[in-house]
Amino acid sequence: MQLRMPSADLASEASATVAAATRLSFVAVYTRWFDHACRWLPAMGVPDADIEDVVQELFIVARGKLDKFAGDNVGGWLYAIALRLAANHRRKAWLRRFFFRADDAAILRAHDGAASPLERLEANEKRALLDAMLARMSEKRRRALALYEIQGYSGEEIAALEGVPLKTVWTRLHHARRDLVALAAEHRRSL
Amino acid sequence: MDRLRDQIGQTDPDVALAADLLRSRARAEASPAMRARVRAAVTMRRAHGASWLLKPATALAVFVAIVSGASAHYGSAWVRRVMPSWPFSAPATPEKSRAARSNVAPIVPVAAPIAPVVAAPETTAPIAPPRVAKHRASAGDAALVGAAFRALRRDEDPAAAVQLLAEYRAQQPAGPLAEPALALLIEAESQLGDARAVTHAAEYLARFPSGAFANSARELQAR
Repeated sequence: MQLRMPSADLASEASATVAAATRLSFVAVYTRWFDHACRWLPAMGVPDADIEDVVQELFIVARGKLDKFAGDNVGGWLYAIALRLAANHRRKAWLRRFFFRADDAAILRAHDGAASPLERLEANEKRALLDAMLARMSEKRRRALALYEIQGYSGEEIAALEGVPLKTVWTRLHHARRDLVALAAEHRRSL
Repeated sequence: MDRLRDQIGQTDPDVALAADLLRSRARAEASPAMRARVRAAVTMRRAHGASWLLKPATALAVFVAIVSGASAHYGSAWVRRVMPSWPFSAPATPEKSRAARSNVAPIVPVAAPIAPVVAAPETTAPIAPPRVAKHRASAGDAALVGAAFRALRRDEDPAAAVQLLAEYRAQQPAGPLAEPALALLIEAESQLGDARAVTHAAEYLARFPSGAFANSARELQAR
């Protein structure tokens, strides 16, 4: 009785099948990370009104590059793409402001919620003040503060997204809080 | 580490303000509609692989188009004026000009202050023969007014403008462009220091008392 040995073609076919089975599907990535992406972008300085555009661009880029992605930290990979897109978006922001003077985000905020006009005005002023303070911080500290304090991520999650040690996240957060309190004190003195 | 936004009732006013500001920002939430919109858009569109290459090309194309347009618009008039002998600056053939101008609305002169008339005798010094021919070459009935306008404003040749306008008025005394033609005539005669400008101003006021140039005509009469 002669045993049939698997041919080379058969082996390569099997490995291709295994690769296809383990390959990430775009639908799975989209379903898992869409909400997260919408939380990252405000922390990266993207205005509320532009989140939809940037997140759309993010997943278009991710879809095009998904086949080449070989790592296991999908969140960190997407986060890195989002960082580049947010930086590009900020660079182009001056051009948009030049042509479209109105602050779309402010317009959207003016119509949200069911609060009274006075409450909306107060909330808008607070948000504008916070945005102005965050804009004066370094980008890394601002991201750490916004992701932790506003978007509710844990230190470990931020470390995984940013690809830095946990201690680095705590250090950035510590400095960011100190900066924010100093800016709040400066604001109080100016009143 | 506790979150700063959760620290309510802080005694330090600066920390309390910072916490209050952080609480003013809610966690970003994507709506199901937005999720569906983005999903549909991503499915329909793929990333542009060569966009980095297309951007400079597009910018270059736009730049070339703008420069070409500007050159065509300003350059031809400048070349005609500076180098009349340049082969491409020759005036257009009458047939071509008529065809081109038949689609163009006649130019209506804008109101401009009329220069004061210098008291001049009826028999003034001989004026150099106006270069009417080049303006008349392509001028039809209504186009005479346009040609006069260009002669007056662009070529600064009021004598030619006066002749063209007189010709138009002779052909169409009550034509559709009678009012702007009369206004242009007054302006051209004023520039020449011709006393007939006052007479024509009176005619203008009599025929068009509420015309666009009535105020200028009155000012001219008052001087």
